Amino acid sequence: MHIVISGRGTIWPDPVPQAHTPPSGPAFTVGSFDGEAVLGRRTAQYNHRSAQLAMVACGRALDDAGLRVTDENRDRIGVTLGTAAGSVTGMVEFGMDTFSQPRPHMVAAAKSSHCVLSSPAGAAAIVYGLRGANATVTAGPATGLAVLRHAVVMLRAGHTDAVLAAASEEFTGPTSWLARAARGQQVQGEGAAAFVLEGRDSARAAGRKALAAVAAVGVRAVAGFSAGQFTDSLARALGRAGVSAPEVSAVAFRHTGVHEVDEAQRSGLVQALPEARQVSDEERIGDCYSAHALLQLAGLLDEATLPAVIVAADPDGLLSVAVLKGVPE
Amino acid sequence: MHRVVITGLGPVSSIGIGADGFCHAVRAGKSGISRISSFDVSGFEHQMAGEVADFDAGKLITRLNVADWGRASLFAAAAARLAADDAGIQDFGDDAAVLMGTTSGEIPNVVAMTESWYLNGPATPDGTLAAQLPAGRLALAAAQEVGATGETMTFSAACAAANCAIGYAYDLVSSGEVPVAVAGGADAVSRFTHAAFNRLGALAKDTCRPFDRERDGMLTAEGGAALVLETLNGAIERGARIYAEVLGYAVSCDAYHPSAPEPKSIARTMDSALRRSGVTPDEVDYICAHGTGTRLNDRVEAQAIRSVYGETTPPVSSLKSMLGHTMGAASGFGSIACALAMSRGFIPPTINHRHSDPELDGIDPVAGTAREATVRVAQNNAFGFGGNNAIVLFGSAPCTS
Repeated sequence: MHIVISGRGTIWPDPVPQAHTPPSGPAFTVGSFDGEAVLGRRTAQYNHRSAQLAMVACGRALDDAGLRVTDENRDRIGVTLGTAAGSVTGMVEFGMDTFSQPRPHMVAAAKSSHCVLSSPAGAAAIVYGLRGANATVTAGPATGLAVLRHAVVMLRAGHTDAVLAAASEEFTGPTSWLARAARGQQVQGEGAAAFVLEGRDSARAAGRKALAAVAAVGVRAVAGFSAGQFTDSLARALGRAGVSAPEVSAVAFRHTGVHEVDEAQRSGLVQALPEARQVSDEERIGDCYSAHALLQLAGLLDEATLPAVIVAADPDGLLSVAVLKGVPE
Repeated sequence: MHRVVITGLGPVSSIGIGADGFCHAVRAGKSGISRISSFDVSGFEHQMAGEVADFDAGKLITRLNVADWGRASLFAAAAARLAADDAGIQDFGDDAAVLMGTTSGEIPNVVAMTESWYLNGPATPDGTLAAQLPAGRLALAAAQEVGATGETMTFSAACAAANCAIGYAYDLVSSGEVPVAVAGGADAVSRFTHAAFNRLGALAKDTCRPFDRERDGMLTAEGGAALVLETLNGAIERGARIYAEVLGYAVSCDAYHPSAPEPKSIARTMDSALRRSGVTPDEVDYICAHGTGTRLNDRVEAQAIRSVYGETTPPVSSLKSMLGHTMGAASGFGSIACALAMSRGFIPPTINHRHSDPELDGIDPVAGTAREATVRVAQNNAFGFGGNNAIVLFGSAPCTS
């Protein structure tokens, strides 16, 4: 089964990083984003910023695909969202009351789902009426590609006919302080990207244009990082996709901030894809961590000739590669 | 399509650690509920939970450096280690997938950071707490512990997460993408989760009584659960003991309410799980219920079961009567219990059950004590916040002689 992308929705950060109060650093934020205005007050009050960003991007992807959700198809449309650790800010907003209130259980009931990593996927399903397979996946900075992989497996196994696949990253107080502690001084970013994935035949039958085919995608554990790890993983992914290295026009990646991993990545990418244009996108979106790879995917669809490759390495021990191909009309 | 079987079980629970200890405890109807000791519970209206009080990660884990990982990741890794040893697999290598489910990941680390921000104001948090936080580390911890370098992913589908991971593993193994997978779930008791369920009015005063007329709620709990899934052919080839077969599963979303379950949607998922597994309702001998013990869940679950099974529903019991609600691990424990029920010939009890509820008429909760029985097909239910439903069907081990 050939899986294609038939719609995309993005929320890009503003092009210039803004200064923020310490301990936050400067960041590429979505200054104009107003979840309440788009989603309504009632929905917004139950959902943290990360969820709101993902939900709005999902709506844009559905619109872009021209996929109308009806009683006939809603049971067969799934949602797969990605997150690194849920909304830390949402958890803190909810849990601070357990310390500050006279009784620790006097917390805000409306915010209790902030403690659950998967609440944005459920919220997106409610807003758009999607009753198919619903999941949240998490794999550090490889999260976006894990989302694509999960969607592909759900479609191939026949659990759904279409999947809204998305990831978001928020820039908010506690979330940004945490990123500084865990990942150092990178300029952070926020944003969201969502895609409609479905079988090629399903897209054709409905007259939806396929923007790209997800020709190969995988997330693996690795025992340490070397240039060889990257070249092997890339060769395996390209082999599965039926794409030769010289055909690849661009390879998107993210700097991990860990010197040895970044050095192995730099050298591995040059060896495996010497002719491909390299894009890290950090100069225009900052480090969007769990959403970085999917924002890069959206960028590649806009700017690059396919086939293109996305690489995401998690210094904790994950390596992920996706290969996107063009789809003949 | 490959047939998929279960050859290893790794429960790390409040009532028993390891397949034999857990099996013995479930059969005996042991309770794992105690007064919370992992955080300061003073001031809370409800103070009981199912903590794994004697969890000593260092004793179970052989490869990871325990200090590098959060409690949920250690539950996942310890469960994977036990499952791998139980399956008799030394090294998984390049071809094995590791999938773990969780509701809240390393939320105890967020609690610690929040307390420090409450006391000291905004600051960059402790580096170790921050480094341990990403939830993707649960599956990664399990993979690194068993030496697997194949597909590795952590899932959340609230409290249906482990069934999602087990189902996804089933998809990978049955389609021939990988020959073997370790799948399950893990979560740790936390102040925030406890406060959330307390505030929602979902917590029992001290005892969880699923399907009882006087049930008054659930109890928060923790643990890790992992299973080894492999192709039937692979298991036969290496002479592995087979607990049970995975027949299939279904996942869905209510798209209805952030926390309340919806009976029609659950019934639809049950229908779909049965159909995908090639099983008819009359063939099912046991339903391992989601069975949280809240008034609403048990009523909705019973209603959904009756709508699919009609007048003759199989016995329906809830492990949460013993363990409390272990969140993302819960359906992992349910899957382990189903595998044990089928291989050892018993139906787990719903303990603490005293009065039948006329509202749940037609449901046999296996009250009080385990029942000796031949279980050929078992259904494991899991529902979660956000309307996530995941239901897995198991069959008895295929005759391999």
